[in-house]
Amino acid sequence: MPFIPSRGVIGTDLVNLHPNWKIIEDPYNEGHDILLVPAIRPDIAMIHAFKADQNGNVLAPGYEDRMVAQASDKVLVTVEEIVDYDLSEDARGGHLIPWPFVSLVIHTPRGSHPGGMKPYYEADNDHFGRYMESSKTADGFNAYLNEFVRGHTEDEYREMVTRVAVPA
Amino acid sequence: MPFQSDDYTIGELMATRISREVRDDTYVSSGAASPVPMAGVLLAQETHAPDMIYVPIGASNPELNLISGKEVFDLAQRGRLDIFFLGGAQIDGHGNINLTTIGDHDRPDVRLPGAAGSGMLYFMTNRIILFRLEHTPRVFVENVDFITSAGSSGERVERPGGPHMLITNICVMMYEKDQKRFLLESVHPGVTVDEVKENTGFEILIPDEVPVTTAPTPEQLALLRGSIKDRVDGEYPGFVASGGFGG
Repeated sequence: MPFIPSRGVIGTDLVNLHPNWKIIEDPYNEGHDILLVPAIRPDIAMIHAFKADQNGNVLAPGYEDRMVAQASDKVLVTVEEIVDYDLSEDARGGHLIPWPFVSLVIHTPRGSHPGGMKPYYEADNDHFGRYMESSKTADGFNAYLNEFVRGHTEDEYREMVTRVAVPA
Repeated sequence: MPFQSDDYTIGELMATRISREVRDDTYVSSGAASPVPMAGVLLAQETHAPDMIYVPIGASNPELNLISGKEVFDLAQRGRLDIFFLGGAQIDGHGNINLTTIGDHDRPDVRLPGAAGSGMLYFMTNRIILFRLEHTPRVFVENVDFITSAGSSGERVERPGGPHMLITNICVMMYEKDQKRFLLESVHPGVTVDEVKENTGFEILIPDEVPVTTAPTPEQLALLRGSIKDRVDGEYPGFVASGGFGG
């Protein structure tokens, strides 16, 4: 799909931020305008999802995850769980991204932290508060990065912030 | 003086007023951070609108797991969504809302979460109820710094819906489409019209008589503090913990 028409939006400052959006007369509604938004073609998409199966099918939380996957050249997916059954037979409670649209799956439990991943876990608002406080100054943010990010693996970060042992 | 009542909370008063807007046999939705709208919609469902279908975006209710944001957006574009709730870091006197940036857009003082579909929902939902729990001049400004969604449109824009009501912690206003302005409907108990004017950075249409917002009945309070409180707590534990419901 090279572009998509959208209702609304005309008259907002969102239009001014996107010089490549176009407003044309709606060919099916004489006398009215319609907004056109061109397709985005990312080189790489990164998605954190619920589950992946052995075939690379992925069960993701948002409908937009599948659209992002279909639009992108390479799709890297981190997941809370890798399962040994066929996800295409059990797509309840999520949005299935079929394997042709998945390049790589990485098992990354608690991968949304400090964001939440319902129903696995809630957002960590204390950590968000600390992040926001730290990011008020460059020095504060540097200290945050040194404590939680630089020189740490994902497993070490998870251990630090959640006190949850890494599953074997 | 801010809202004052010994009998009910500000959230209960706002939810009760919101519930009156909800019609039976319609679709209603709300987005993130909307515990008061959720309580109001559920109160309507428990009383006069049993066949209204409530599809809050992001709810963890398993009955709704096939209804995501996409389905809500599709309902709105199809013209089938009767009410949606929007807030705004800034809301101006013409109904424009700002969810994007405060200050100069290229060097903002505050970067906000963003439009999240409101650029379309504000046009295509039959009635938008604007709500804020902070009624101050920094929120209610004459002109927003950034128009994330517009309160009104020219005749070349297909626009079936738009702003309907603005409800805050001190008053209720209705949007007058012809004048593109808000009309003061009522003030909450303990609040004066002058206080509303002082705390609003835009011009308000004020009728000669401004009543006090109708209080919840004991029956409505019982529902709000019973099953509705439990359901809101499931989605917004912080709201209930901080005393959003009385009793």
